Amino acid sequence: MGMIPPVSLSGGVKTLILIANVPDKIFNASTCGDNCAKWILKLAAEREVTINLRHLMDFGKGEFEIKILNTGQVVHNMKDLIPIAGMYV
Amino acid sequence: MKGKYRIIVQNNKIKYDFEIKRNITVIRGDSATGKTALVDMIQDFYENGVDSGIELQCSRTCAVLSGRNWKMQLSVLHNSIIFIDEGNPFVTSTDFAEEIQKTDNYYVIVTRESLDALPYSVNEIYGIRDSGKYGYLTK
Repeated sequence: MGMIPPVSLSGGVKTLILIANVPDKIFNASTCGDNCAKWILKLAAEREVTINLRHLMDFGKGEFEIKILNTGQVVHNMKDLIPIAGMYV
Repeated sequence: MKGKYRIIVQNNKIKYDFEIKRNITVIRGDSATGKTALVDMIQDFYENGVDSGIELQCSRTCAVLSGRNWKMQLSVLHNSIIFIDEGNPFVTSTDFAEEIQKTDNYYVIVTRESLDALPYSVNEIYGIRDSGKYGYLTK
């Protein structure tokens, strides 16, 4: 493809770059598709990451630790995440 | 408007060829699959015609709705297929839902968010799949 200008990057990639490099802001991760979920979890493995989600993102079949700020609950897999997230998105 | 409409839009890098069947079609899916690229090509052709280097074949005018002046843009679009990319907050508003009920357009909306105010069918939610130079809608 050659060099990609920033404006041509997908919304998901741009959001991941911002999450990685602007840690004091909260970004809307609903600009990210499910293919970005593993990268969000990877960034969160290194430091605490807070994102805004307006859709149910698929974080995959593995275990993770996500705190849903709407309720304060901590979930560790999609089976636990879905019923809570479903109330809000 | 009623019925199905086939849309073919292409430039020298990619060709999208798909059909929409109902007044509201939702496109969502993985990042970097060409959703915004499709909308940008529609916009470019609408603004610049053949000078854009884009070919668009459709029996209806295809246009893009965006930004804070969406109502004004909408007021001049009739019997058209209107594309709305993600990142436009008005698309989840009841105001938008009320306005489009008064129109005779079809809408193709790129979003992952719930569109609670809009009467769309779960059968009309698609992702974009591309195979080399060709892009098409897939469930």
